[in-house]
Amino acid sequence: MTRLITIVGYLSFVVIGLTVWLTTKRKDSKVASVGKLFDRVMHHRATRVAIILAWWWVGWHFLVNEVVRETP
Amino acid sequence: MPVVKTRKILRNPWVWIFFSTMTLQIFRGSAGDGVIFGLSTLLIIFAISDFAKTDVLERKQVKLLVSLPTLLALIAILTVLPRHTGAQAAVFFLILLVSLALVWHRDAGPKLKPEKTVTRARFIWAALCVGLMLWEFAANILGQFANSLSAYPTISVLIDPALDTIWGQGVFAALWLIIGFGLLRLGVRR
Repeated sequence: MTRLITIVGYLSFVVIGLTVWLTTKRKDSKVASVGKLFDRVMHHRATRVAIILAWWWVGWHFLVNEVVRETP
Repeated sequence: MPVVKTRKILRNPWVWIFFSTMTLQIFRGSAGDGVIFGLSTLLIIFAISDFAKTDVLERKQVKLLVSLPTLLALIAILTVLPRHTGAQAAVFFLILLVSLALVWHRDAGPKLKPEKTVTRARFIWAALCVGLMLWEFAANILGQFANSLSAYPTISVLIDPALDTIWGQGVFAALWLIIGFGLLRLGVRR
């Protein structure tokens, strides 16, 4: 049961994220699109470096790191 | 002025986000990730400071590196190379170095006040990211207390089995690289 609740939680974030992403793609949206947001966010060098590092770590974590799937 | 720089560093949220993540990684027993986030924190501090205020790459080099052929070649390489190997780690370090070189340029003037639509978007996406991080953190802590990763699975535990297949690895590599190229296209010098 706890497994199901945890997974439903993750899926809720995915659904909300997709809904926000699709809503903000509309021209009359009162919320800026992801592209426009990142265009602004990437202004400072420290932010650009931080975002690239975070993105890189996600790839490293899933493809290079060994994930422990069950407690020993 | 050293005092002003220290303040600038301490007031930057990224320094605290990466530092907190480093402590969290050490707490959950992942020393390797702790080292990565520790070094990343130092790199961000370096990026905030006035050292190395220079453009690393020429415009032509940037165009070549953030191009469709490069993207396709990298997707193929990361799909074919076996996971958890030194070869794949080497490709990742190369991607990191080139990506950092691509975004390590001077800022294009002062930052203007954001529009209301951008402020709203920033708030919504930040709330979603923090929410997801807290949910995963809770799963990690509860899993440790219950001594069961399957009862409270983290995102890694759920996704990892799919990455064992070549299709799963290929789809993940493609999505990850497309997002990265999108970020680089926004972050490279105009």
